[in-house]
Amino acid sequence: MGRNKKPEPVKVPANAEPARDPIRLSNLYDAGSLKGTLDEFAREVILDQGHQEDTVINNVKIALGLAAIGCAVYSQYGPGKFPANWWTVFGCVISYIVLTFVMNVYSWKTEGDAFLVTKPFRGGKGLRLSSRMTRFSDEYTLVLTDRKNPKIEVMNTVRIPNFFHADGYLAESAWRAEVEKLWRAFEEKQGDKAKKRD
Amino acid sequence: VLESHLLHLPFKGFALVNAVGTRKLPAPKLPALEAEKELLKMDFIMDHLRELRRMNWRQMVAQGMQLGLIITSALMIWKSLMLVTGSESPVVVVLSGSMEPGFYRGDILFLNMGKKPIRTGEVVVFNLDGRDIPIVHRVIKVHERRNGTHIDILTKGDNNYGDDRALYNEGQEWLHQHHIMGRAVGFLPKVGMVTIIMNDYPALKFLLIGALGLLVLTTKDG
Repeated sequence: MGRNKKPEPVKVPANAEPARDPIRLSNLYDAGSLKGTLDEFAREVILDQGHQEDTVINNVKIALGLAAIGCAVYSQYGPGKFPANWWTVFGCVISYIVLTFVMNVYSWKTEGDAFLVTKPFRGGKGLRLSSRMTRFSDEYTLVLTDRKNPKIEVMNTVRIPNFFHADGYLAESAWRAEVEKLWRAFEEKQGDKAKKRD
Repeated sequence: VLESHLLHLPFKGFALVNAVGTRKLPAPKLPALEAEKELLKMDFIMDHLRELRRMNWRQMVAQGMQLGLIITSALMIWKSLMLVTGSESPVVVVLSGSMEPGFYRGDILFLNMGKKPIRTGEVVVFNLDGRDIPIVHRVIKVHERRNGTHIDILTKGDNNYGDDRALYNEGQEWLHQHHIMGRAVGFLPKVGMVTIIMNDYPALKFLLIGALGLLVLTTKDG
């Protein structure tokens, strides 16, 4: 880094996203927002690898949820005064319970505790990205699981303070490198299983 | 904190002059502390607003739907209470003192309709035609047809001087079965004051709901 040397221009890839504000948390003691920030960023890194989110799941959940809310609104604002429309209200309450039950079962079956589920891509059948963080601990575990075969799974436990600066900024490049490392381990494992099957 | 407030009173000069002998050390940099607290509150709000901006529209709809589900689950619990008790409004708040010393303003009453015929002495909640605020008073007279098809009811508040004919609509002398919303079967003293306060200052209601809504939309699951 000589004094006379001009810094080289940074090569920005052609389709890069516009630079956005660095992520900063104002309260580093809020475990929920720490986990949330790491989750959000890991999710973006995985999507950057070319995966696409499987939107069918969310769409179904939204449709079921809106139907349930519709039942509730109908029971409140629908025609008829109360004691006369007892059976209508009863029907609405039962439909609401059934719809929310179905929605929760669907979410549990397809998503589990993952916050990102992707479509089949490049030979794999899609993956689930989930994370765990126990209360009052400073360790965060990121887990990548194959959707079809839950045995193909890689996880990585890191210490949260390693990825946050003291003034609240997320160490983006360090976290990105960590997630990409996990991603490569996952691809390898997928490759191994495919070879074993063949 | 109380001491520093005294120092800010308009007759500060007077207080200092008189208290020369017992003057305490100047209060710590209070304005700076207040400014920092304001910044922290702003940061908290900005954090949540930033979260909202970063979500894509599908996530926002999903979060909005979760909020809607929370609200409607409360509504559904209310509806099932209505179904079980058979009453339009299974929980009411006493607004006036016309039933003292039994029920005071701010008490919560639990209502149940039931199939038993209405009898004198029961405390009932009734809705007059054309008015939307129900009234809770005691039944003092009942006229009933022998075959039980038609019933005339007269009510009176325990703490009122005369019966409720002064309250009924023009020309109405009796209440009928369809006016009655339910009978009081239980009560909780004074808990309903919160509702009365939120009714008198509606801004409080919107503030509370707005704050809760923002928190629910942006809090991540643990």
